[in-house]
Amino acid sequence: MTGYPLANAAYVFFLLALGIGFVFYWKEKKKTGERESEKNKIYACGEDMKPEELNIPSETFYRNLIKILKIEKLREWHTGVLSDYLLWIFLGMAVLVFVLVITW
Amino acid sequence: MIFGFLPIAVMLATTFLIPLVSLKTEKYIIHTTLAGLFLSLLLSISMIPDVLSKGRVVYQMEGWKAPFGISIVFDPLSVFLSVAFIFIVLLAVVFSHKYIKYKKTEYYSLVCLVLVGTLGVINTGDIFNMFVYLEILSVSSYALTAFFKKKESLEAAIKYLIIGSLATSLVLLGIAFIYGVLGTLNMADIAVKVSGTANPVIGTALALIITGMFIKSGLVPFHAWLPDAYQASPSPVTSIFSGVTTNVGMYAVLRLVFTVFNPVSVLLWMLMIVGAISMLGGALLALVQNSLKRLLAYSSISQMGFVAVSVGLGTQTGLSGGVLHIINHSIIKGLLFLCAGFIVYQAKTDNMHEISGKFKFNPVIGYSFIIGALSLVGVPLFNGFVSKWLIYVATFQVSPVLTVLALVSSALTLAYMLRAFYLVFLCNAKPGAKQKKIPLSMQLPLIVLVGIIILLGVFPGFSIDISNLMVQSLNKQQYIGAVLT
Repeated sequence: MTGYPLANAAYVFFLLALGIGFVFYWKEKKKTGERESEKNKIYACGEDMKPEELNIPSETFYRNLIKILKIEKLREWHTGVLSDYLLWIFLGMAVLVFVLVITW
Repeated sequence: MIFGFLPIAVMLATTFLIPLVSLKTEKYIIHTTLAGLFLSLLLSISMIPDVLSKGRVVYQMEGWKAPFGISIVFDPLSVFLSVAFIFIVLLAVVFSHKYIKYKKTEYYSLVCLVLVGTLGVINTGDIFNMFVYLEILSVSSYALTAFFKKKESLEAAIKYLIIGSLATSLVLLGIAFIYGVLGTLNMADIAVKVSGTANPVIGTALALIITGMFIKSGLVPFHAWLPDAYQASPSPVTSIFSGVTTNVGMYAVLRLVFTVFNPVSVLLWMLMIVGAISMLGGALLALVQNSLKRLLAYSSISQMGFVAVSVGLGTQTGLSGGVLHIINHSIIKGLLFLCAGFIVYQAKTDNMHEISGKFKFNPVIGYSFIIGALSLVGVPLFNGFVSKWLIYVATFQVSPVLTVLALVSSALTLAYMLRAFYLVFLCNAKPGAKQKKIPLSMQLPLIVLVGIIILLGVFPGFSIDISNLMVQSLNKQQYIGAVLT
């Protein structure tokens, strides 16, 4: 068995494994009942902290990645000015025309 | 075979029927639109057996033989894309039922007109006719972008209008060059005549048309209109833009490069370079967006980049991956923009930092969003995995560097989609926040799309077989033979 039937069989096994996993999860959950409230508490070295205080600040999400990849620079190029955008299009078109005319 | 033209004719009739129906009451507009869409969908589906058995069905308008008359050509590529696009528009219209509360006549008429343009571009065998349908599609899209008549909607619509008009003007100029040199507008006849010519004017014409289509597809650096237009449009319209209209540009590139003109290596290289820049650039820019719709818009640029890279490889696997990703992207982005539509509808803002406090986690929206996001990343069991896997395999066969770029882009996709999920659904979530009841007409399209994503993901053989059939219909000699005899 090769190619797509094999891929289909792999998917069926994947689903089967997922289904078995769910059955175990459901049985365990049924056995232990509702989650204990203690489990939801956050351990912060004895301090009482609300869950929302421990959220990752959304402004700093991927801060280092953004800094390293200089994405802000890319963003600055998107000035929102139509003439800038038209310039990009004309430059792109010029390259396409030049390359295709030379090589046609 | 007059039957084949009917899906387009039905949608055109529906466009003009809607204002007539609304003369007395706006109550039946949605029914009229849905009836037109259903009929058009059924007619398109009914074409499938014919197209599969004969390979290609050609309808010569008014009985005028090609190359003198306009040919409408149906093959697996055009028919399956038509079915997929009508289906996405149908679901967006169902979603719009409770979303659009005023100016329904204009709204539904314009949506139908977008579909008329889309189906026309996909099914026509005449390059000037393609331009006409592209204009129909574009003009109705500009009007839909300005639908809310807010400052940002009008600004986005004007930008879209100017850049979009530039695109269609370039296409028209290219067509004029082709007609000047070859003396024909029939795509099969052009394919015959272009083979024996080395005229650089043809190269210029092709460059102009391809530039126009790149603008329509939103590839970098021709993408600037897209984030503004997507952000400002009503959300169901954005799902149509992302799932349907952007893909039309890529379809035209495919058809023109592989069926009409010769897939010269320099053109394929250009596709790969533009695609790779779009793939990475779109993903990087999506990472720093605060607006949910803008993030998804940049994601569309990135996904179109995947398609361009894959198509640019020019191999069977690459083309299959590219064509399949067009369909998968339509489904996934249709779902994600509809989710975004509901979130914006409830939170009254699309700023992700502001949304989280105002929006209570809703299972239908939350799970639909995460399934759409995972599928977009290319996680197994979802349809996005199948096309992305084909793209990885195809790029690896030609250049492993492209595979690395594609994998990095997918990793970035995971990063920005997780950020979006976190900001919208988890960050600052208020367990006690009141939750509005989601109308069934808004839930149903999401559930259907999620079902399709899982179904196509679990049984990938079906979609791969269809994409292979679609790629076969790009064969130049078979196309010429079917249209000109």
